[in-house]
Amino acid sequence: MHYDARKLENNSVIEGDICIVGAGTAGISIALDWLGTNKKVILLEGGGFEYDDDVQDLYAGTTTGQKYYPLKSTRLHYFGGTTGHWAGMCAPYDPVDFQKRDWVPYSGWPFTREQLDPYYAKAHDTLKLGPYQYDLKDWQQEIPDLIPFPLDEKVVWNKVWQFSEARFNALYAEEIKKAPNVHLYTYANVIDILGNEDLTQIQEVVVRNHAGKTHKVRAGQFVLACGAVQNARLLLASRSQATQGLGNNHDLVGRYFMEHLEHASAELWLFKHIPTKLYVWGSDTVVRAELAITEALQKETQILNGTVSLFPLTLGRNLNSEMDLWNNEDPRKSAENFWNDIANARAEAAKITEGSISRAFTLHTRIEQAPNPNSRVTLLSEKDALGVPKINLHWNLTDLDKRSIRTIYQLLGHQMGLAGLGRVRLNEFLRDEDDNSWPEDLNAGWHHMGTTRMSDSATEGVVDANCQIHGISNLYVAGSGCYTTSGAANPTLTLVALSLRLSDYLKG
Amino acid sequence: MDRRKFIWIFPLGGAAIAWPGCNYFGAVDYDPVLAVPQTLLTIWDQNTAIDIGGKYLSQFPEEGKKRKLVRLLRENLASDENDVSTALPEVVEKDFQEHRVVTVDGWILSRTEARQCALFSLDDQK
Repeated sequence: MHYDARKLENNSVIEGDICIVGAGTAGISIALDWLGTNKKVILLEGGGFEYDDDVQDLYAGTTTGQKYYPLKSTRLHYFGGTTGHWAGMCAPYDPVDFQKRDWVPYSGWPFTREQLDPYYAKAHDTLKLGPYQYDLKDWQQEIPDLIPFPLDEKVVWNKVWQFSEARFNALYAEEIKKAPNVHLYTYANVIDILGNEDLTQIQEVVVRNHAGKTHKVRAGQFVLACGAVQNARLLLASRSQATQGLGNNHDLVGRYFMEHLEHASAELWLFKHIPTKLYVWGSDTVVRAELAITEALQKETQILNGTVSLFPLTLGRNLNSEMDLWNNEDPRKSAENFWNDIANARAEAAKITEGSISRAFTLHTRIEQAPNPNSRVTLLSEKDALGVPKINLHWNLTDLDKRSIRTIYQLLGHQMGLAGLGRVRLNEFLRDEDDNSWPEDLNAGWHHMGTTRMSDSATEGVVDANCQIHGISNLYVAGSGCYTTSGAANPTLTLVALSLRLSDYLKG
Repeated sequence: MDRRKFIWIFPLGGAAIAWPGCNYFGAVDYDPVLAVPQTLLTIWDQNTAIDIGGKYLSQFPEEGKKRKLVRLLRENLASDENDVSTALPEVVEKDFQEHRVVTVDGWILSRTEARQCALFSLDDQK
């Protein structure tokens, strides 16, 4: 069932069994999981079913530290959320991503990859992916020309990716609207969260919209599913009963913001053409792989987990920095800049078909960011149109991040030499051995993670292993904000799996 | 023979010849194949090899003399090795196996092939 909160009588009170705040990837995944149950699910979406600049503007904020994209442009604020323009790249996090690694400060999830596996499999259905199968050997039986480079498997392995075309708005809006037990309210932005006297339980959330209407939503359980940055913002801004915000007794909300560092970092020049589809990403690609460093070598060299994707150097050399291109507050205009640049680069690349450069590749890093309490979201004094304080994102990187990237390419360069395949050339920023020096145009994956990190201990995390906010019995956080570490892979598949795990827990 | 012309014919089969022990390239007596980074020339042009060689010498000025470079290159060749062109790729492979790797202008190279570039660069200065 669907209601437009702008059209409700002012000061309406909405009641249900569970209230999900945010109809993006996490929120919709959970709502779908409750279809057909005897529970009344309230699903709150700040926007409508299409882009609305007034609503999108609620995401505007400032950034400091390492240059970052305009905050307003990094997520989409309408039903379906950022699946509205995501690339669909899916791979599970690796077992090492969940482990406590003594060389990665603040690492270690409160559960293992194995424990998340059943939910990964289920998330494949939600994201309309193929089988939950990421072993290259399995895929080679179906697609024989997925031929890996002959590299030492003790050092380099092939991390397989699948591709989702799921856009949750087109895919699930009608299903949700028709569901008798799911009550979707659009234009329902939560601006405050109110609890009982000692703040051990949430009683209601306050909803507002640009039509000037304010409503209250009461439920037995509340799930924040607004994205990592907005979840933290909402908790910090809910100061009616706690001056430091909700769940923030230990000054952890908003800290440990993590991204994926995604940057052209080196070149691979092959001595001979190697016929394989394994590393190619084309319109007919079902799976492809990225080169990754094994867990053992990560431990030996004390580096973060990351992967390396390949695309033709003739293309890579003509691409501009995403950080420079994605410079407009309006996500539609930033996306247009981005896609135009790719089209131009492809046209230039098509002109070069001969010579050794036709066998060369740009090596593109995709790596976790080391958890770092100084990388954080804080509130500003300025407020948005609905009266909620805006935020500043201070994106802060560490020397471990850069040393890890360089080491990956040193290992890869060595492996390519050993195998006699070709030579690797580090890009300029990796030749600079100052590990605290970063290029201004360093690219990130538009992935927000870690602002409400998970830990068994209330002094080390905002939520517990079940994504419940420590000390508040019925308030949960869904999504990538709960990640303790950001993993090498894009976050969406894990985000959905984690949300489904939370959903399972809420069902009891 | 002109250096660049030699490089050009090298892949065509002219390399297997044993270079006479003469003083053609100055006072140092060596097989010119030593100064040919064979595999790198499948991805670089000669100017790049010369440039990388020059940069290697800037990084390791103590190796800035031909005599030194030739001695270092020969050190890793088997003493009974006559076919330098066959032996060098094996030395390069062994470099990688034994982590004798150097980064020059961002390129991750075997020490031997980097020295070959350096020798190539010095020859080019003649």
